[in-house]
Amino acid sequence: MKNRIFVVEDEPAISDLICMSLTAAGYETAAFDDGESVRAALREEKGKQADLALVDVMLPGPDGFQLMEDFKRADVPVIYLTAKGDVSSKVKGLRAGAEDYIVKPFEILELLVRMEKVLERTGRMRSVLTYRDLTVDLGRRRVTEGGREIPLKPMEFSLLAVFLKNRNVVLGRDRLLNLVWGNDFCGETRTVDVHVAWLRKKLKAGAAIRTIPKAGYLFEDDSL
Amino acid sequence: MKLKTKLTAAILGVSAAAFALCGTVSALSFKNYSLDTAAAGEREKLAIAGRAFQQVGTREDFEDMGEIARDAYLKYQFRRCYEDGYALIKDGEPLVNLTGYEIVDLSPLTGEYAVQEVGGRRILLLLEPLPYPDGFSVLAASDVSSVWENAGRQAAWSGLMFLASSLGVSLLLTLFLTGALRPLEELKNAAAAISRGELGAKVTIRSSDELGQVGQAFNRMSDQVEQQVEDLQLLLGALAHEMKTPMTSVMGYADSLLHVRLPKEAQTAALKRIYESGARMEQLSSRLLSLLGLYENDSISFQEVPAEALFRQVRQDCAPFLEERGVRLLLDCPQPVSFQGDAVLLESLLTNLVQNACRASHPGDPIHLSARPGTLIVADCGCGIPEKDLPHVTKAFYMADRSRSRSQGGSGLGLALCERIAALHGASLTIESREGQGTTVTVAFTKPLQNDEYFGRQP
Repeated sequence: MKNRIFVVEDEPAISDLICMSLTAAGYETAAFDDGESVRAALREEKGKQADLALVDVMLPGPDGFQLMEDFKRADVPVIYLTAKGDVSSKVKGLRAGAEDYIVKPFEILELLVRMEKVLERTGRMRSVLTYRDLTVDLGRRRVTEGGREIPLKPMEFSLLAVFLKNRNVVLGRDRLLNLVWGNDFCGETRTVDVHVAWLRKKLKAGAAIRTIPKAGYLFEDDSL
Repeated sequence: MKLKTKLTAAILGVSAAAFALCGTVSALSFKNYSLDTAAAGEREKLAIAGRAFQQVGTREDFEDMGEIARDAYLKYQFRRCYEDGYALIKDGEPLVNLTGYEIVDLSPLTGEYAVQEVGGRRILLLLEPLPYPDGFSVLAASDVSSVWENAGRQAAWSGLMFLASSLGVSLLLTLFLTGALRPLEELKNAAAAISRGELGAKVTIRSSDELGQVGQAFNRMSDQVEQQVEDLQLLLGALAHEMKTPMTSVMGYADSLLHVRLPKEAQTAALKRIYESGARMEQLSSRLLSLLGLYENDSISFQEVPAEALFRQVRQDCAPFLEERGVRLLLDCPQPVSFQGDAVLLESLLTNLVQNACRASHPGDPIHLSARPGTLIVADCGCGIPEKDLPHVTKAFYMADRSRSRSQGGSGLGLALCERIAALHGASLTIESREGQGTTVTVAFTKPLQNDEYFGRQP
């Protein structure tokens, strides 16, 4: 089951951009271009609630700050996405109860990682990730492929999880080091290459990990 | 050198020259007067001594005497009657000399008196002929050096007085000038503050003289500069804000194309978005350039523009736009009217207004474009402008309904541009609007043109 994201943005170009990238990365999106429509959707869609909302602050109708109450009532975490980069706007947004605040223009990968963190923090991350016959249980840290359990070392498991959470997105070696081993790990980017090689050897699904010259790795998933 | 130093020096210099002239003249006349007085005194003394000398004998007595006896007698009597300082002259030769000086030549001694310098002393010489016997005269010589000494002392004394008084005067003058020139000092400081970037610096106006007027002009300039810079900053800020959306779009789509494995159709869509954003930024910059470009009056040529030709051009320019939205443009020009102005600019003005009307209109609505003498009117029956936004619509980048106008291709600069064009033609732009009922924009050519050259050609 995919995570469902509300994209509330009045600029069609930006809205399309976010939806396009999120869909490619394995999310399900619903776009809204003003405050009223999202308010109505939150009131109606009881069964198909969103896991996260990306909300522009400047909107026709009620603005992003005014919509905060509605999202709270529907229990949907909010990340503000706005051109206003000043500190007071950020403070206002976070005080109002937003989980995060991203200033335009932003990088897609940054958006994905921040969304992931919010989903994890609020306990909405899918706990089981799948790709063809590969199943990764994040809660129990178990990997099965074709019904057979595959033993992975802790770092191999984390790397695989990062790939599956950011499908179809190019991940640089530095970025991977950062995401898997953490900020204070002083290893070399070679470490990433070695772990990718092990994943490719241990899993049939490892073939989906493509090397992108001079950029890093990309987990291909055409089913999305 | 400071202005007050200069002024003080100039005033002192001029008065010193005037004093030197007056002093010299008065010292000279004082000397001459003293000399005349001394000469008159001397002549009187000579006359008194002369009277005594007359008693020694009559003309007949002397005629009776032989020459040698007469001379000896006169010598004797002269020594008896005259004191030191006189000499008896016979036919230009001294007979008796009591002057204490050697008498060399008497021929230059003509006129009333003469002054001769001997050994650093000035001697006053008087020659008085005796009434008889013929050929005899008396020479008086007296020392008048004191006259020169007195005159010199007088000059030195008044020079000293002048020095002392000018010292006092210059002190007072400096004090006065410091006070009088304080506004200049303040102007300097205020100008320095402005050049440091502290816009809006002012000076206090204390007087209504020339310095006060300069101060007032300076304050007006300061206000204007501050206002203009503020306007420019607002415009720049608005521009930066308007650029941010297409920028975000370009960067985001490029980033996605680089880092996300998108399906083919999504890739095409992304490229299309990048192109559209670029086009939007281009439109924004060219609009802004024309807004700024209008400040230069050189490229504008005023001429008689017939309304019919203007309308034809506007209809042609707006045709694709009107067609796309299904809006009808109705032209209303009952009599031949023409306007004094630049054809291209007027056309741009009307095109902008018609496009705005078009954006506000619903499909099937009409837009009325009418011309009356001195007036151009664009009226629509569209959504109208909310009352609170009405006073701001001509500001650059002000949009009553941001998302709506942008999605329809509005830049937020159209009306600002229109107002500038109208102002350039000495026309006023009036916008009347009621929400839900439509908007009427009237361009009234009320004021005469600013430029006299063009004004002269007006009918």
